[in-house]
Amino acid sequence: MADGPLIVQSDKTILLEVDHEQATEARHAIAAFAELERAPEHMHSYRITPLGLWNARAAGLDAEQVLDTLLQYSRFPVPHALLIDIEETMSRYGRLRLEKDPQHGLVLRTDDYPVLEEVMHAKKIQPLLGPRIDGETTVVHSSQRGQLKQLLLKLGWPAEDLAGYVDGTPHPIALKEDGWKLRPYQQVATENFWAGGSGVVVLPCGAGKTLVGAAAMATSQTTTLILVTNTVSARQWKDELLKRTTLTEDEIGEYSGSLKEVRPVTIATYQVLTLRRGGLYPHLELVDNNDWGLIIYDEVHLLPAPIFRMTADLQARRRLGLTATLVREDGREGEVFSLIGPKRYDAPWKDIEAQGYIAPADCVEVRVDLPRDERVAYAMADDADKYRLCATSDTKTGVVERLVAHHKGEQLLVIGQYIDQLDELAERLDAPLIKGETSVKQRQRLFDEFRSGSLHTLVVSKVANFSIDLPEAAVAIQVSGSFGSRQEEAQRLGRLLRPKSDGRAARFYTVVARDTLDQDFAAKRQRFLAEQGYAYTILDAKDVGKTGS
Amino acid sequence: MSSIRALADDLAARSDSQLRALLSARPDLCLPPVPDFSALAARACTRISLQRALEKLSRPELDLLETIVLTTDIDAGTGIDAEALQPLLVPAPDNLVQQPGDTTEQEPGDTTVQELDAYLAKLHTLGLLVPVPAEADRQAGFLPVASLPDVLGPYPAGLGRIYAKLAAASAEAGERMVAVVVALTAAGYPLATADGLAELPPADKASAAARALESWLSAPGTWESLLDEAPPKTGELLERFRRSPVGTVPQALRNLDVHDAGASPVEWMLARGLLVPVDASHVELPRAAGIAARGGAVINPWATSAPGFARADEKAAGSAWSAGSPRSATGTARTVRASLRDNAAYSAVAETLRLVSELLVLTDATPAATLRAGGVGVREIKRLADELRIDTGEVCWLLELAAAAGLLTLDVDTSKWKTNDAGAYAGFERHHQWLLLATAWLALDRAPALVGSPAQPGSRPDAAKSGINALAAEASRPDAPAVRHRLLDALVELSVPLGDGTSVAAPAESLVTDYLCWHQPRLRRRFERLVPGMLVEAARLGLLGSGALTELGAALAAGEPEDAAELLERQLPEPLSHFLLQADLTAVAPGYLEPAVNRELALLSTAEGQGPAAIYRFSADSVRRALDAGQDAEGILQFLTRHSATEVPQPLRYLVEDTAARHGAVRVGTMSSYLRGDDPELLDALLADPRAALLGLRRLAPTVLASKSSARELLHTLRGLGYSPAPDKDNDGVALAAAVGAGGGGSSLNGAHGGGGEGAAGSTSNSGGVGRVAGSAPSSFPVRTNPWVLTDEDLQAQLDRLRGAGTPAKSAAGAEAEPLLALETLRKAIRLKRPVRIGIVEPNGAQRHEVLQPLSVGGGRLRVFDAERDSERVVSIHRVMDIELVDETGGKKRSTTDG
Repeated sequence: MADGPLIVQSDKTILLEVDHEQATEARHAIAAFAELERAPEHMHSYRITPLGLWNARAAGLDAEQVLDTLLQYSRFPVPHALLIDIEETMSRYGRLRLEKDPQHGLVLRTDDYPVLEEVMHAKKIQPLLGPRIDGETTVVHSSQRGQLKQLLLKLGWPAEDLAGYVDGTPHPIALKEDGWKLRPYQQVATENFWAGGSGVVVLPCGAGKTLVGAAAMATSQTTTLILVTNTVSARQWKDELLKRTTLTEDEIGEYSGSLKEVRPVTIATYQVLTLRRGGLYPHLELVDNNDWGLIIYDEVHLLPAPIFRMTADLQARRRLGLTATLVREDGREGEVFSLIGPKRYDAPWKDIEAQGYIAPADCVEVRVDLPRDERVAYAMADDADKYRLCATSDTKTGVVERLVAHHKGEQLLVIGQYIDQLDELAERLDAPLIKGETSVKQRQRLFDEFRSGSLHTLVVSKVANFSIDLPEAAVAIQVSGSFGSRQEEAQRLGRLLRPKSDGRAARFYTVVARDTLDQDFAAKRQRFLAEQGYAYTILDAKDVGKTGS
Repeated sequence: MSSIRALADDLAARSDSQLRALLSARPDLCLPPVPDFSALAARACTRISLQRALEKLSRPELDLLETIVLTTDIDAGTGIDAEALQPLLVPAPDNLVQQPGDTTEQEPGDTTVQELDAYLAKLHTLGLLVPVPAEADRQAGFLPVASLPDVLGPYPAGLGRIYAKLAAASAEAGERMVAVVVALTAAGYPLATADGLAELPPADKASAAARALESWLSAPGTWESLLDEAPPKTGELLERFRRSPVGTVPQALRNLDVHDAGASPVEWMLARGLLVPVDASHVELPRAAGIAARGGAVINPWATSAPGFARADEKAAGSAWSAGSPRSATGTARTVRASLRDNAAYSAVAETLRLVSELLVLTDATPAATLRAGGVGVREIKRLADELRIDTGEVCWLLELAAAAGLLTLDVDTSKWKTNDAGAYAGFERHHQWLLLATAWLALDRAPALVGSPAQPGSRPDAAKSGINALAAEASRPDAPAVRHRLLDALVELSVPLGDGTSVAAPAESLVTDYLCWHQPRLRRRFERLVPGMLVEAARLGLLGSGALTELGAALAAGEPEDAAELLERQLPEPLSHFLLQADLTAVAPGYLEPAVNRELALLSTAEGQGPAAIYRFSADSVRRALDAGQDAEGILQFLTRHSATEVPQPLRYLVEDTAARHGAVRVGTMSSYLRGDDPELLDALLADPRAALLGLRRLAPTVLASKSSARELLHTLRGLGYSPAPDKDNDGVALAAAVGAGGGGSSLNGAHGGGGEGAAGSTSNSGGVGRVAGSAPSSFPVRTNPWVLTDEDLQAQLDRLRGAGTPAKSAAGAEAEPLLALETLRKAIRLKRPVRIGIVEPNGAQRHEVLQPLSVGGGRLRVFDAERDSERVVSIHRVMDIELVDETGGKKRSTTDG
């Protein structure tokens, strides 16, 4: 039996032994059809899903190649039922095709009459289809292209979309590679995206997702719409594009609450697009009335529902989604994939770290014991209040103080969920607090001070969860969070991952009250990072300061 | 001459080698040995022996035999020979596929007389046909042995009865026939004898009509001209009568008009007497019509070669991957790559072994309970399925397999399936485990695949609804081992080597079944019911891979299981003794873990996932489980360090230490009552009092004692000791005080209410369970050997004995043959409707002879019509001494019986 790096399990997961000499080879081979599920230090696990298999078909792989890959790299015999299942699943793809017909426009065509009959009898699909041309062909309302594809996917008959993309208005854009180069993984991500037409690129925080966007624009050479989460983030995009591409100030417009510029490259916030007035979305015409050749969705894991609907209508345009953590607590990852496009590139965080592009990080969970009176109060509290009670325990404050003292002189963030708690902490630590009501101006000033090093400690609420660029933050202390949100945890760690000038490891503390909901939620939150290979060291509060650093 | 006698004469005249051939083909004939040829012949004519012999006939042989039964008349002694048979059997046009290795080219549509002779010779050798010598008025030929028509059933070759019999069978059918003949004659169809029909007496009308229809249909050209005017789809209707001549039709007895142009095919045929109503809702296709529909032949097409693996289909076989996929299921011929076949087989073996081991671990902890009705219930199966993370069907199969191998046995005391020496099995190397399972499966006289399917009619009514339970008696199939061997042989025969060497044939399930059915058509139902499930089971044991027979399967088929195990040993990877520990609190064993390590690890953690690699997740709960089992943090960490290929991650170390540190903060025990008092010294005295030792007192706190006795007993005993305890004022204190006060004899009350009563209840329910379960569930699976094994010595001894006994003509008929001869006489009399003279012993011992008309015989009783008294009677066979056929000519045939 071959001594390969893969172990194919009958529950449709694949284990990859990281330290095996063929591991890299095998990883590339299976990445085309299997989703990386967990990446702890020794054994990565991938999952074979119908979606992944169909994406592989879309990328030109056939079942035989997939099966050959498994058989070639597998250490043990591959469960036969799995092979059959893969073959059958993949054969479902492409029985239906979306094509452009010179006479009828967008049509749904098949060689397999019963399949078309089946989908045409599905209640939800009927309204999306136009008149039937013949037994094998039916007209599709072109505005329903995304919706139809999504529903077909749910029915298990994914359509091969051969109708192509509109070109968009050409506009010259090039990368300005002076003194820096596109990193290899950014290059691969861009190529994968372009070859696939549309899709999502998953890269860890700080790994340069903006550059993937810029490279995609340079490949597309068309007018581009960039959708981002907030104004700060929009400014950062603009700065980055000015720095890295041939685009000039005049060519980049900002479309937000305060400014409404439409330029060849326009950066808009989700908020302004989803603004609703009198039952209408007045700003959606920005999207519809311009011939964009490329639409970039930053932080796709935050995509709000109206954008989903809007995106469904944009199936004829190239779409690029960027994210670090494609986990949604609402479980709508599938919709992201079917509307924006399949995952085109995904790298385990630890891989990028090993290449030196993101800073290594130590994660430490500090467990505090609640004092007796707080324990009693916790035990008697209503379920709704329990998490707040334990997460805002007074004992945490002392621990935070000790930690801050321990890391004196380093750039340090204290992150939390509850304003009362943060207020108290800011007071005790004598550090400024940034929360929702802090003005943009004030925020910008504090960030600048922090960046310059004149300010060492900053207390932030969840407003700073995303897209604030704090280059030299080296330590973060999390005192409370949004319950069990995995992606919040990952984003918070992401604040620390920009490579440090001196190559130090970043440190991420999370302070947790023992034997309470706080501890359960912490375990839940950590799952994503643990699966990415981040190991949490666990410390008792009384040991803080004795070890570490 | 009696058919049995004729056969006896025929057998006596055979050479030794011919007799050897007969006895080896039908070993049941001389087990136990027979004294002489008449006994041998008699035994050969018994129903059960004939059935066994027929089971071994192939499709063309059975077809031929049925044709002979249809075309001969045993009573008249008219036989048939190859030449006469030749036109009655039309070979299949392209005898579809050649048998593997068969190179003879066959001309379609033409059977040679020599070929038929060869078939006839074989049937003769088997003692199914008796030769009839040529006489003045008839040709030489063959006759079937006497009871063969009974054994073959009412519709040999799928043809109906002749018109005359149909008319005699039911008055309505006769009336319909008369009406049809009249109508047809009126419509101008050329029916003979129709003119005189009206003048005939009513009793003869029906038979005359039957004769008319019979001769009309047999006339050349009639059928063709009829078909020309038939409504469309008549051909399809006729096709449906091919397997069985009886069909269901609503209002079969209605009158129909010959001229009705819009008639449906059924109406059209009924109107012309081509279908005859047998009752209000059934019709039968008469033999003449059936034969006419088959182009004048009895068997058409006559498939003389077995369905096989057609190479011509290879191109159309499609993807080499598509084993079992619906798209390729229709094609019977498929090839797979040998590497793929082995991949499938070995992964299946590894999976089965893993699951059986896991199942044993589970049942070791919690034995599988049986239902009152027998078998393991759905709820229990569901529990196992959840724990094994597989579906319930697979659990049933694993349970059956483990029980077959003796790894699970039914404990009659608890009526639960318990592991039997699971430790020894776990210690086996994996190829030995496989060997044990595979041989047990081969010899298993049950059909695990039937579990879950509806039970056969006739079994418990509730089983029919819910399906057969795992390990229930209903899935017992004594013939299963034979079918399995037959199946493996068939797979070997169908696995033709393919030219390129890298591919192997993978016959589809339908081809395997067809192949088996061609070889033993009488077993069709059995094959169709058992073979699909057995193929799945064989695949799970690695005997089949991707539908193709593997080397393991071939070795088992060849009767060399040891070779198979050796082969497997080379293929299975070495067991591992290490695993990888990861910071996300998982352990991954990249392969099969040594049982001892696996057991330990499983205690510490919870298994996840499914497949060759085992994944375990540690949690506070799982570590606590290990601590409860008596382990400590240090031991756990030592074990992890020893077997981990990597360092023990800090979070895991922390988890173990943290859980251990806090383990046992609250402790739990069992006590029945408590005793509290404000004076610790009083309690000290009580604890020290030897008379109170029986109460099982234990100190929990200075002022609290706990007792293993019930509160009543405690009160009573303490009072007896001179203390004055008061019931505590908790929920039932008042009731307790009242009960104790009123009863006085507290201990007797206690006896009725306390632990003793509980124990008694428990034991009754247990014993009840055992009694019921032992009755219906199989208690063990004995490995059966083929009962019909005949050695050469046995054969020789039998031959010597037969030769020594002299010829049957000289000796009196053997004791064994006599009742059979008598029965044959009776059956003949029933058939010919002739009276017999019967000697009957009265209950008081007196004997008398009577002439009676036998009507039917069966179940040890003979129903007779007594013409003198004009009434029917039933006579027990054991009271019959002798039977003579009363010859119409006055001559008497005599046979005796010792009754």
